[in-house]
Amino acid sequence: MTDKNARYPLNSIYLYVTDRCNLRCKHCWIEPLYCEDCEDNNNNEFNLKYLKKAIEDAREIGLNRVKVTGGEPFLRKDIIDIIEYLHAQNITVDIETNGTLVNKEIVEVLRDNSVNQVSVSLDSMTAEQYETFRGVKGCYNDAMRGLSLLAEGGINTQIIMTLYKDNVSEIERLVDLSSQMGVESLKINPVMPTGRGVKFFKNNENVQFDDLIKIDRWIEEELLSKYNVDIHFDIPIGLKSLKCIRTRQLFECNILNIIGILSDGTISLCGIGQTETALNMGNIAVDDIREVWANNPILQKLRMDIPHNLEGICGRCIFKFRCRGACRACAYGLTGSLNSPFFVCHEAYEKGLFLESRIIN
Amino acid sequence: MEEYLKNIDRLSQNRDCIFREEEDGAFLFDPETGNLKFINNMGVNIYQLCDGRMTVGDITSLVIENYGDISSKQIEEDIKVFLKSLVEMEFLRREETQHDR
Repeated sequence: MTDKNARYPLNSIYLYVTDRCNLRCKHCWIEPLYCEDCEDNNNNEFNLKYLKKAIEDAREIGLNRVKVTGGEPFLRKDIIDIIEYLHAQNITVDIETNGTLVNKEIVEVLRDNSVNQVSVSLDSMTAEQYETFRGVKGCYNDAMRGLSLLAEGGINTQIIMTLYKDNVSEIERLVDLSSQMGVESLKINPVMPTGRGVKFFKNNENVQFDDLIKIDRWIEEELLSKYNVDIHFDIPIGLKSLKCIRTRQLFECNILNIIGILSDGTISLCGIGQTETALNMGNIAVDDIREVWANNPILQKLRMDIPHNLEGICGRCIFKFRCRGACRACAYGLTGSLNSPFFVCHEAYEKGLFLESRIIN
Repeated sequence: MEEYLKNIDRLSQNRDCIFREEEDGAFLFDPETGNLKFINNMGVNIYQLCDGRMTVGDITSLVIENYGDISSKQIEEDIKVFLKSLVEMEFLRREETQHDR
């Protein structure tokens, strides 16, 4: 490994195995193609042989983890081959799925290949609300069945809840469900103003900043002690309580050690490349991922700028080396700049609600 | 092995670092290196005594006076471990003393 690569190892790939989905989620930032009849593989999806080459090369520069996501990953005919290949390469595999296509055979494959974690999207315990949000009639029972098979099958399972104004009251119900089903963790992601999520903000359906903070503290002070479930509420560390910062493991995006591979093989920053094509850096069919990682100007600039040239409140926050400006893809989607402040922290600062003790003068 | 910190050592705060008090202690942050450490209220008291004039021994004596129920040997060890961590993260600087020359 060269010195440059040693400083910025490529630890993790976000692998968008397909751009097709059998759901039409209202908030999705990837905006995949909806397909009712998803039997056939899409010809635009990368060939496994190119993926194998990219993984082999990426291992030389530090790769040890792949997050398999989409679209809905289990729509890909060769998804099992992909998982088996990654396992054989000694890569830690996490999977994000809507759970609707999970069956006993898939659970067995996941177990046999020591998949590290499977995250299932679930935002409500009410079928009608879930299906309205996910855009397809009848999908609630499929998702619940998939989730149950995973948890009962001994897979480390996580529920990912997308939070918006109308499902705040579902939080405790989902924590309770997680506890009863043996789901290890619940990750709550407030909806973001990117992709289809833009509409939520236009229609004022997103949770307001003050409520985000109240929910965060309620989870920390009540729910975590009441239930035996690990709950991650995804707001930046600068907005977290001191107790939480000191005692809990927080989710932080390691943007400087990640790359995305989109379903057509495009190499991008992460899934943002699906909509923001200016952030695309090549394709695994023709480009060497090591070369892209070492020399691509977008990545080189990112390494110079994050966190040193973060703008606004993110540049003045004492957690900037840890947080790295939260979601840079979201910042780019909103402003066209990878350096601009994360919108939640920016709003907090503008309202005078960002703690003074965490701001560099 | 030679002791990392001696009782005659004097420590001063690195003024390029940021000290920010919160309800149960304070954050120390170095904008250059990104080093960040939370110290509790006892740590804050000790950090604030590091003024470049008081020695490690002076600081230890002051703390021992205020915490009579803990063994002085234990306090001395704990303070040295704590101060060593702050020196290593460059939140504190060791002032040059006679024995360094």
